[in-house]
Amino acid sequence: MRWWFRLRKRRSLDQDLEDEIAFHRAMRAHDLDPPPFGNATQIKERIRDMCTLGWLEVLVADGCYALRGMRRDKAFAVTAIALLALAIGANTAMFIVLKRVILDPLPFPDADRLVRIYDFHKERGTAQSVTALNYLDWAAESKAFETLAAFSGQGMTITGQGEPELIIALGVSPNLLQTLGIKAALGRDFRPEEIVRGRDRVIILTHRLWQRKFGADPAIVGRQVRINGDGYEVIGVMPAGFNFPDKTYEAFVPLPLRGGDPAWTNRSSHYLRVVGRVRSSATIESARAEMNQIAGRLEAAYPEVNAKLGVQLRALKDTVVGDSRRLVLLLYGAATILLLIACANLASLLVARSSARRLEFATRAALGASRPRLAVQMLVEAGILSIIGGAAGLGLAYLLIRSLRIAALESLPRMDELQLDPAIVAFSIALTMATAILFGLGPALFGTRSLGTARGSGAHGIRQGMRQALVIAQVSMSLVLLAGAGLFLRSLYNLGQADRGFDAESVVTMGFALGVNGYPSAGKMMNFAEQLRAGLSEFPSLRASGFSTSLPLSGQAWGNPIAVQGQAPMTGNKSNIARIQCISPGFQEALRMRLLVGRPIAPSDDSRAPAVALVDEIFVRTFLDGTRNPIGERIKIGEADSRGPWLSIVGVVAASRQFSLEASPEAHIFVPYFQLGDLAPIFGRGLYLAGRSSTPAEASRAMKSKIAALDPTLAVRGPNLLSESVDSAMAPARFRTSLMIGFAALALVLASVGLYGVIAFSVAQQTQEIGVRIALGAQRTQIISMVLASGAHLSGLGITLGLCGALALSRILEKEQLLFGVSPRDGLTFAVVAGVLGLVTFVASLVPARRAASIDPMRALRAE
Amino acid sequence: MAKNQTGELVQGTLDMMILKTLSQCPMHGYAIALAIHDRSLEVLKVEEGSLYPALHRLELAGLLESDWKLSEANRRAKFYRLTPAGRKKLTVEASNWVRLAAAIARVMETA
Repeated sequence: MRWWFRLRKRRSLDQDLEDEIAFHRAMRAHDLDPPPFGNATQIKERIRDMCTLGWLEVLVADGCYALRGMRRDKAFAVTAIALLALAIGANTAMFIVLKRVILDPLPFPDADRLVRIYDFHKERGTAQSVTALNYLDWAAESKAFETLAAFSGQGMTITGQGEPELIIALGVSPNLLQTLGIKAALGRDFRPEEIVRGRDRVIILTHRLWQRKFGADPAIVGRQVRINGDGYEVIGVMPAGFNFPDKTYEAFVPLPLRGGDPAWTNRSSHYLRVVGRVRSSATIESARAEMNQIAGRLEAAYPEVNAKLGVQLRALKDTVVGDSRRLVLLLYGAATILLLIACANLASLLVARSSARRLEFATRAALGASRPRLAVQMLVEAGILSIIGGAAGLGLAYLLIRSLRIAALESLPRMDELQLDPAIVAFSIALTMATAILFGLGPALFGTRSLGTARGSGAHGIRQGMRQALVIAQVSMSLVLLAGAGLFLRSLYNLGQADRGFDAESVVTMGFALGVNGYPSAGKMMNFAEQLRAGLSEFPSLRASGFSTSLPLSGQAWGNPIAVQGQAPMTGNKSNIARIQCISPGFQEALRMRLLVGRPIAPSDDSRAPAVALVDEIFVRTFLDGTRNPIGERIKIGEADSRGPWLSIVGVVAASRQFSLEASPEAHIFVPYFQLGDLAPIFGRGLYLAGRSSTPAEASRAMKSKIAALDPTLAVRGPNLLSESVDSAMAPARFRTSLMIGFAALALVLASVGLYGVIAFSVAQQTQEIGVRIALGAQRTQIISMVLASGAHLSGLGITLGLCGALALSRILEKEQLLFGVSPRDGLTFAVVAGVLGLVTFVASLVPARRAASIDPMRALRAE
Repeated sequence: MAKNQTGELVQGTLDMMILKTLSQCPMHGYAIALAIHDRSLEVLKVEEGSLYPALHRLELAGLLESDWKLSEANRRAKFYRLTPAGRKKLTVEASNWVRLAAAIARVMETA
């Protein structure tokens, strides 16, 4: 209540002080040698500050004063607020992304106790998927985990529910949902016995599939649906928003790990992904130690398959976020540099204003305002600008969320839910305050120096020096962003131009799977495949066509150890893994994969002919030393002593980017589909059809009708254009490039405006000096070059400093593998961005230079 | 710790001297300034710029109370007097000061 009491006393206090000082003066008047009385107003001010509500009244008064000032100087206020809104908005928007990708826990209870576990090849240092028997042994032996669950994706065809549809389902161990800690919204979870073959015909739907395919039928639980020709009982529906491991997977079925197909339930097929929930009594470290011991025991017990096989544990979140973490941090860093540039810009605007307001401040100082008091007032002005700008920035970020989500959807994980939450609002408030202090404090401290005299020019030098330093900072930070944008742009261009080893233009693709029920044997599959091949060759609209177990960028080609006849098994850390895909004749031609030597796969390469293979040049380089003539060399998929056939190499194709556009291509082997034999039911069920045609729409209709004629129950995904998958594979590069360019463009504008401001201001300050020079006979060109030189001096310093920063940035970009086909010290990029920045800053100082040259000496001198 | 050549007071000591001056009887500001000037044998000059803020600060801290009364010259003046808290504060400050002053004196003699 004390403050209320004081507030009421406030008015009488003024009177009191007045009287008290009047009395003092009267008494002193009688004295012969009166001590000097100070500045009465200043004393009163000090006492009033002390006795009253002090800070609150000051804030309110300064706030009102600042608002009045802004109304007077609208141009300044609008510029400052727009600057702040842009910078804070961009920063907040990037923070929303950063929070979602890096800070938010995964949407599972106690998500930080979830870890992914991999088989780990100790010699090669590579993590792999896990074999079924290793997983079952881990689950039985480990004590550090509450549960260990396994999962693996598989295509499933749903029939009898409209058009046959191929969905991607997740085969899971029955405890997966329990491990994640999520219960079904409808129905029940899997039961432990459903791991056994024969008990596994049950399915849990995602909310999305339930809505899309089953019309959100509330009585779905217990219903039978036909999947791959078998009857499955729907036992549950997951809650909305549950996606695991990502949105691709639309249903969950048990993996028959016990009593299932021996091809899958062994200790050499690495195909399971394993996730575990660490007990609250254990730590990830202790779990790791325990798993290492178990892996050691398994290695000793099964030396032929588990030799050199250890385990690797990674937090589930790390595996979800992966490399995106660094990209997000980098982009957030760029947004922060932009904010710093805006702060520097605003600070120099405020310093300029404080010079212009010298008279006002001097007057206020004479009237009793102390220096801290004036500094506080300037800070309050900065604060008010910040608050308005911050609010606008938050609004801007809110508007940006949608487009950011769409732009980032293909480039960053976890972008499905991007939203403004209280933490974001709190962050942007904190950011706003930090911004106000950042750009307000310097001007408040320097701007209020030596206010004793209204015409005092002592502080002028400091202010101009500070503005120059701020401009140099802006120019150098802009150069860093520009260089980043330039390197990204070059990478993106290279990515678009790079030789991918295939031609995606006018290639139509579709995918389907030959299910176990319709195609129980290799013979049936081959029969279908042969009819399809023959049928497709009839279409005149298809210039070339074929099918394969994998498409470029689909990531379906599986990796397998390879043996070369007459060559000792590879040792050490050199990988003996090559990617394998099975292709039909015509597939390589349809994709225009360049044949370098030998012949393509021909229709005659069937089950009766000798086994052959095509390899790519990477394979020749890594497996055959690159020197020998590869034609006729014999290789085997698997170890040299395994029972598979030796394949003769008949041709070599150019390296192609089958896995990702950016990573360097891996060794590839192309095996004729019609020579798969017994392996067809294991490796040859998922097929992609590719046809090259100048009329893609017509071709895709033809392809679809041919498949339907052969098997009407087959679900087909597509048609898609291969060029579209190439396009979406470039989305991450495009995303980061466009963001970086946006930041850099804003930075460029800010820096040039900043430079313009400083030069224009110093020209205005030197009007008389320039007038005198002109009167004394200086040429206008001399004046122009004098002003330009001062601008060039600043921008030159800024560019030099910026180049150092840009070099540091480019090294980081290279380390994070964000550059493609461009050196981190790419001279062209650096020269161009430095040139652009130099040119823009030159123009920015040319305007005030021309104004300086047009100064009329008579007027300039009279003005004094 | 009292003053330098120009008679400026070192911070902190003014509060203590005000309290001491008021420990005899209530006084108004001018009288306090005079009293300190006299008692210091005209060494210390208390500037109003320091005096009045100090008085208000002490009053806010609850060490002083004030009243408007008629002065000896029959004018309305604001008289300050010690509160019990002010008296207690004075005892503490005074004993601290004596100890400090003696200590400083010893240092200055021996050095």
